[in-house]
Amino acid sequence: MHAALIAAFDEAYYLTVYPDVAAAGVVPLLHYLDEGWREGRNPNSDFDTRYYLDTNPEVAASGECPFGHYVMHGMAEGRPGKRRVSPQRIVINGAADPREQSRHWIRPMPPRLETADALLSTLDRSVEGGGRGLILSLSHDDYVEVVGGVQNCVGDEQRIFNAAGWSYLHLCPAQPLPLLSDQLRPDQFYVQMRLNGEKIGTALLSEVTTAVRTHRDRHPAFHLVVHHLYGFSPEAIVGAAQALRPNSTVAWIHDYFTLCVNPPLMRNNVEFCGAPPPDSQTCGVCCFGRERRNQTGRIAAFFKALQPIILSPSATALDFWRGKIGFNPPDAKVVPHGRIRKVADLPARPNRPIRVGFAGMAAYHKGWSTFEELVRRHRDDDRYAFVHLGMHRAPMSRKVDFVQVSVSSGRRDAMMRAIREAEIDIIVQWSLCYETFSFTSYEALAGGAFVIARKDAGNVWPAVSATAPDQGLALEDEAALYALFAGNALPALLAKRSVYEFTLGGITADYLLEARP
Amino acid sequence: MTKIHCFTSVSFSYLNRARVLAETVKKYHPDWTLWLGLSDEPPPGFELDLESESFDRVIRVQDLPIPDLRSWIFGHNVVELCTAVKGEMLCMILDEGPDKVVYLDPDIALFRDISPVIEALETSAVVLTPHLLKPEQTLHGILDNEIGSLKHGVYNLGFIAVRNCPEGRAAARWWADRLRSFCHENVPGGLFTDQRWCDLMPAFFPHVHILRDPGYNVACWNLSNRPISFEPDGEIFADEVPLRFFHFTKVNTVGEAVLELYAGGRSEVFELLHWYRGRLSDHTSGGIPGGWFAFGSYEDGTPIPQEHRIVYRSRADLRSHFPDPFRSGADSLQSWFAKSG
Repeated sequence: MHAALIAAFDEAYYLTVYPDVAAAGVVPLLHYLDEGWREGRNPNSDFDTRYYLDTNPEVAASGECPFGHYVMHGMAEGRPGKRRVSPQRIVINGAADPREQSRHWIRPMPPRLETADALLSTLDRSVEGGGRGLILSLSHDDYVEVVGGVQNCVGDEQRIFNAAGWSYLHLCPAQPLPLLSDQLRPDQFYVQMRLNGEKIGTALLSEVTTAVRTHRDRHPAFHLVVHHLYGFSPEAIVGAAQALRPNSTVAWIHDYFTLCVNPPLMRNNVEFCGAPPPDSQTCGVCCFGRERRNQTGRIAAFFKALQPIILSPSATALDFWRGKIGFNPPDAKVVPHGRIRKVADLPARPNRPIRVGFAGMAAYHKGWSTFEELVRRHRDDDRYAFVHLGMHRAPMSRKVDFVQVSVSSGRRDAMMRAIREAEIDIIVQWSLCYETFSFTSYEALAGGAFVIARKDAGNVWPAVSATAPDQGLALEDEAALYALFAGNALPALLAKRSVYEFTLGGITADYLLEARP
Repeated sequence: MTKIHCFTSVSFSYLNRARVLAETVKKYHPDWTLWLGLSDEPPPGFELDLESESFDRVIRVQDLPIPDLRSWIFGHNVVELCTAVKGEMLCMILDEGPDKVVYLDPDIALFRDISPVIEALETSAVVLTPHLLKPEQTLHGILDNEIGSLKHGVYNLGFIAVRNCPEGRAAARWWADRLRSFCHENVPGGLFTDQRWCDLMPAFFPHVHILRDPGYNVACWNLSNRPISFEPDGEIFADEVPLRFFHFTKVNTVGEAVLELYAGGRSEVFELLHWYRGRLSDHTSGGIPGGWFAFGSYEDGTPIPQEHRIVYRSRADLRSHFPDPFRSGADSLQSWFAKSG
């Protein structure tokens, strides 16, 4: 028997995976050569017998043992012995049209609906003893119950507006959806409501409109803030806004939903697409293409009817959005979600492995696969220790420590504290999206970490380079990232670091209260 | 205006693929007349309703001027039959008087217009696309793709375009004549259905244009030299030129595994495959059992072994004695095989 074949065969693997062979007491390699491969068994963990036969039909036709062929010929010819499925492939295979997906989102309507009269008395009660006016705020879900970036922004501004004497009425679709709802009028569209953070039930948008219009007779100051349109019928919002005539209407660019039904603009969930024309070939093969074409005209009509002031958390996002939206908004401003300043030098840390962190959700589009690959390459490298800081632990090798962090309205600084407490030296910020703000980049700096960023990830590198150019590095691609970790340049880069203070901004309040006191 | 006709050739089990092809052809060439070439009989209860299809016309194997048709059909498996009819169908469509005719395999999808082919036919009689446009760089690629082309044919006959001129008609007639008698999967015998014949075409006919644009007929066998990319302006490219059409030869897991071999670790081609599978799913109608082929079995439902087809087509005595070879029962070809072992 050929020595190469004996060397490549993993006897221990074979006996563990096939206990019947172990029980039979036969010689494992002979078993595989005689019958094992015909039964689809594998000779080691790196060779898939069935896959090899499927991909090499001439070997299958010859009746030759596929593993023998691989060891003697296939390997040298560059034929893979096992299927390699990349994270990208898994993402692509799961890509689905959001309209199809929305079928799983349907939930029953609550039995009790609020009327305009009841809402009016609730609104009136909320401003007893004065009140500067009313903010009507719209976003895609219940910002108190759901934790996330946009939700935190809405919660922050609600508290700031309340503190400044404003009432804050928030509406989200009673039926959340991963796309716009069908075209509906205000008397057909149901919303779930919170007033100053308290849940006040579900009602037709037309009932809300009636109540707010009457309330305004006594408290005229009134602004409309659109944070997100997911699940809304923009036509219903236009109908309500035209009836209510707000003093100003603000629309936020928290993400790129107004450009495409897929807010991070990830073609088939796999790669940032840059929002090419909706009738392009790319949109033709993207799972979001059909719905994007459906919504583009509706979004344009929405902006045309309301002419809102556009607020963006960064110039990067605003410039990109302006270049793609297809019209020139009358007024657009950058209102950052927070500001950062240096407060102290970071004390020197003892000689220990560099602690490399990933902050946030272990999701493909946030760069988790790249972080996983980095861990895989260095799992036995004493120079590094890897840490995931997030809400949920990801299935991952034992070499990654997990620190549970939940950034919620009451704990807005949880991530920066966790980064500081876990003494994270580096945050790998490898978002595949074109980030509009990137809280985690600011949180990383505030936590004293060095930020290694993907260069084209929207506001990530502009945010870091404008604040702390010496405490970050932008890289072109994954190859550069892997080379950096393989080399010896990191300790010098990390030597001089500072601790920063990140102060949350007032979101819409920053703009409205300053612009229109 | 130039009259362009386009056709494909299927059995009913490939109707969903033909529908995706038709959808994409109509998108980029709404003025073309689209023919469905059908080499099958419908499953019980299924009726092809042209009104609800993207095809304008249907041409059936039963319409072809081939003597002893059932006997001739029996001599071919499904792949051989659907390729053997292409020559005769091409001739019949040319007889309808269009200026140019384009054939596309059912498992092709257009990603943009293929007008340069039509322009090329202004100065040539036939346009062919080679499987490969660049030498392979790996031993694996040489063995599978270069030697594969030597075995199966230099040009991929998932595509051929012909001008309705004397030379174009002569080329079509010659090809159709050869396919009548020699459209078989017999690589050791120098034949691979309709395809290897066209290796001879550039020698026999002076105005055969070999289209060397990597955007045409991209498939697993040339993917290693034609990586797919998505451009910022929304165009899809193959080897840095606009992708015109992709040939989805196999969309099952084996086909996917073969694509993996040549994708070089890139994932863009799998986005095309994912899209294609979605379109196939939307175009798959109930009423066609999986793998349906009316000429795939004897009257009693027993599948016809390839060996029976080979013996029958090579023996004039059997063809003369059993003019309807599909019949079951006494004194049938089937019973003759049973007795002869």
